[in-house]
Amino acid sequence: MDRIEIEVKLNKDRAWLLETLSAMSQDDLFRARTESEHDSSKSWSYADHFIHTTLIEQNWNAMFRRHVAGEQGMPQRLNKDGTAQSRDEVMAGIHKWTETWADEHRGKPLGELVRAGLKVRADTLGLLAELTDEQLASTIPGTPWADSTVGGIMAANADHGRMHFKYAKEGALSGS
Amino acid sequence: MERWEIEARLNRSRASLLETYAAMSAAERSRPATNSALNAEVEWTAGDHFLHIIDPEQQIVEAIRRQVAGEEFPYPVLFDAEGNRLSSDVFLPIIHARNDTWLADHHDLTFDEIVALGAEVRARVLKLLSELTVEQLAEPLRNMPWSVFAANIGELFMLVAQHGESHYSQAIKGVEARSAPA
Repeated sequence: MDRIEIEVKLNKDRAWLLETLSAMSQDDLFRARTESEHDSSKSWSYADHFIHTTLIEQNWNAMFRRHVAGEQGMPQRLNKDGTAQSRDEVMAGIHKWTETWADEHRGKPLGELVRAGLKVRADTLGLLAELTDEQLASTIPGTPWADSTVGGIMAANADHGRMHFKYAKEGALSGS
Repeated sequence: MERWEIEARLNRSRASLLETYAAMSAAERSRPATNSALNAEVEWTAGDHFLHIIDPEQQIVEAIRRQVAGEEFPYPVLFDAEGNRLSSDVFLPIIHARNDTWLADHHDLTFDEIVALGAEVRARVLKLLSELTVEQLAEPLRNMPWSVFAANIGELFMLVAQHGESHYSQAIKGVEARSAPA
């Protein structure tokens, strides 16, 4: 995926999400849609799903920077005794991490969530501008997203946003 | 005007320009479209219009930064050494010369490099947009040439999108006019 395709995709999908969420009523935006995967007593709204994608985008940018700096982009998750975590342990850790982020942003108005996402998107775009074609095409070992290339994963921010919108839309807690 | 509206407008406009210019062949981007506003012997190609819009965008970012930092004259080019506002007759040729110089200075860039340069400047625009408060976005422009087109800082961000679209339109019309039978 070249830099033009990546930038176009990021721009279009972010614009679509902004327009779609902003057209919702406050009730629709903040109503429970899905159950938290970390704590079943909590729920995620469209707004929670939206701000979640900002956390991942921020995390991916850090991963890209490690990778192009020659470090391990995707560190292996280890237990305290140094053994590799099982998939269930990895997912539990991720769900806990994402729930902490959701907790930090829950209750904020959409305008503040947009602002937080915009700050990270600016960083993403700045990084895209800095990376060479070779860096965009390089594979980050161990990553399960897109085609595992820097460019592919960066563009997957767009898919991630749409995917979480879909999760919220189809959420079992929606009552519709 | 809300922050999300500005961001969505910028995103849609940039995506459209990228898709449109990327769909052109290198030869199409190199077709003469218009003449320089300063020197009729200098031609701007369709691609030059795409390259051009990056410079005003970065000037706008800098001017907004200066205004929110409290500067009374956030766009110094508009004023002489004594602080008097330049007349259009004096100001516009300065801008036109700057525009031609910008094109000349970046003439060797490939299309991909121009896209990357534009993305770098757009990243600065978005970062600044994320930093400003709602009140700052609603601030009237202070001593800026763009106050003819934009009433406040939020609208000035929007003007970036309009400027790109306007230059695309100029480029296409210019190319068509030049290829029309005499």
